[in-house]
Amino acid sequence: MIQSLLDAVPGEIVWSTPIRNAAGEIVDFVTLAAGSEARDLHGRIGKELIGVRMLDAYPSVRGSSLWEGALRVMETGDPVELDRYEHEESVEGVPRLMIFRVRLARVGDGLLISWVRQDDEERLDTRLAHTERLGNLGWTRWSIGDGDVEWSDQLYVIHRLNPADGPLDLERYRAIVHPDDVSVFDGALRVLEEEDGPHEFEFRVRVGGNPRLIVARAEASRDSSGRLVEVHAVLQDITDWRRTADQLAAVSQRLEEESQLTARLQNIILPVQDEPFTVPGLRVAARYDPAETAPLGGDWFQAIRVDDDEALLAVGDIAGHGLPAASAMAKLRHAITGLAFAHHEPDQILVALNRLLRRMRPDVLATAVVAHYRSTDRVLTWCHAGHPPMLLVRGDTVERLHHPGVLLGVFDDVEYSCASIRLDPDDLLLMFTDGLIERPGRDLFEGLDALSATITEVVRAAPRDRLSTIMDGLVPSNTSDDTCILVARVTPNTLEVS
Amino acid sequence: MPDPHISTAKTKFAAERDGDIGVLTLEGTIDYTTHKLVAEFFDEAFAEYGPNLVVDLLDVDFLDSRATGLLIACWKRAVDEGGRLSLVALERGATRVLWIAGLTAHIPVFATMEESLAAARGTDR
Repeated sequence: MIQSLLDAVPGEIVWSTPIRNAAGEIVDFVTLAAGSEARDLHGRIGKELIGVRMLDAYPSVRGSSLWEGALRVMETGDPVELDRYEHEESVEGVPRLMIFRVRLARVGDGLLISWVRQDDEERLDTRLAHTERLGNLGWTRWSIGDGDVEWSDQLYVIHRLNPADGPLDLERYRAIVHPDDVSVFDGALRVLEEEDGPHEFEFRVRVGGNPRLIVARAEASRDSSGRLVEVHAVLQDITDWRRTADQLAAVSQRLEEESQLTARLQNIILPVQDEPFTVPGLRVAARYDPAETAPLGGDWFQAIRVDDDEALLAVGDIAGHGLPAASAMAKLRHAITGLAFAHHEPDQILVALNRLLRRMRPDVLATAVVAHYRSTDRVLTWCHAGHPPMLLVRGDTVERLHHPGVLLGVFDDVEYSCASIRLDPDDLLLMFTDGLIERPGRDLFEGLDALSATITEVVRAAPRDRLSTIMDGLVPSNTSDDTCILVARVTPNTLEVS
Repeated sequence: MPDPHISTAKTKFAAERDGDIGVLTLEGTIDYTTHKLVAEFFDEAFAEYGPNLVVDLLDVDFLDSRATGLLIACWKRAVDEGGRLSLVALERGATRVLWIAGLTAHIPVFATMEESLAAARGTDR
């Protein structure tokens, strides 16, 4: 009978009867009927609650205001209402605090308990307020006929208005729209009159003398005759967001321009020809791979015709990146050209470069390998200043050419000596900077051996164009450093020509 | 003041006193990412031990050109301050770069700590 009654009642409700001890004192309640919407904190719903004992299932009820209330109701028959019954209980090991409004009434010889979860509503309200504040957005409803307006709290914050003064109706809202955007606002209302939406509009409003950029997402509801009744909208202040986005776009563009400028600058200081070119007795290919992180580096090469039968080849490395390295690189590269035309030998050139750095750029450390090639007798004369060895490819064997000397820019008085070797037609000479062979944790000479093995493999495949094929096969091992590679092939008919 | 000691995921620097000589040990990667730490470490070492230093590089596994530059700068500083800086390194692995850079003709380099210390004590007398 009570169960069929509860079946018809909405909300969370159960009917329980007391369990008494021998002395007649109530020691617990057991549920005998439950409404279909009733749900306990362990997830039991409706009739699943029948047979559940109160203190057994919810131990923290013992001694609570709910327990006291239940006993009083059973004793006096007067209903009790608990406005905020706080129930704390571990659910699956996690302690949870829940707040209920509970009504207790004696019905028959049992207790009718109905409850509404309070914190659900509170939680929803708090969540909504957080959402509005974090999104800097608010909700509004404008009624067209009776002029009734509803605003959520954040709309007052966005528009710097006092909630006590109430919301702005459409007419008064239109008055704070920026004069240039009133047409947008009017147009938006016309669109809403014609189509349900949702629609999105963007306009500025004047708030405390400053324009704020508002994006409105709105939809209309209308009556049966199709007449506009209400406009619902979410208004969001996107002023700061838009400003940041604009700044970001400006910065991206500046970076893009800078990177183009850097690439152009690099190309002016160190022009790289894509195609192989010829200097006396040699066919030369050169490549510059900038570091992944710094487009402007300090690696350089030079390959020039000094006389009808003489060429200068050089590769160097300035420690560091960016403009300081690039400007030092430009100095060295120009100086080496001048010194070569003055017919200085490689050792003399290095002494002069060292002096130049010590006087003009004492902050700079540099390494270089400088070689002089005479096509008449195919003799290569070279020396190193702190630079990794060159490689000589003859047939399918690869050997190191290294004549070590101290790096440039460290000591005021330095001396270098030259080594020379007679090259054969079709020999290949490789000069490069350490980015090609350097790798953390690896001996530079192991890197050199790996490079030699790569070259041997390429050469054994007997490519038609050895120069380009080898160049294509060279991959920098350290992409965080820039790399410069120069490959020269001894032109076969050199001697006949001279 | 405790002996300077710096340790990161990539590097470990330690120092201790041996008479009036500072014995410094660098381990790991010495490149642009750790450059500043190494520079600070050397500053502390100069402050603590003065310009007589022995630098053990046997367990360094990477030495880039800036780090080489820093070693040179420290060697110069030691000489300028009337002291002597020597290195313990081998012509292989990461420290091969010292030979390629042609530095071993200018900066004293020894294969073992014992030799380096013996030479350092010899010049003290």
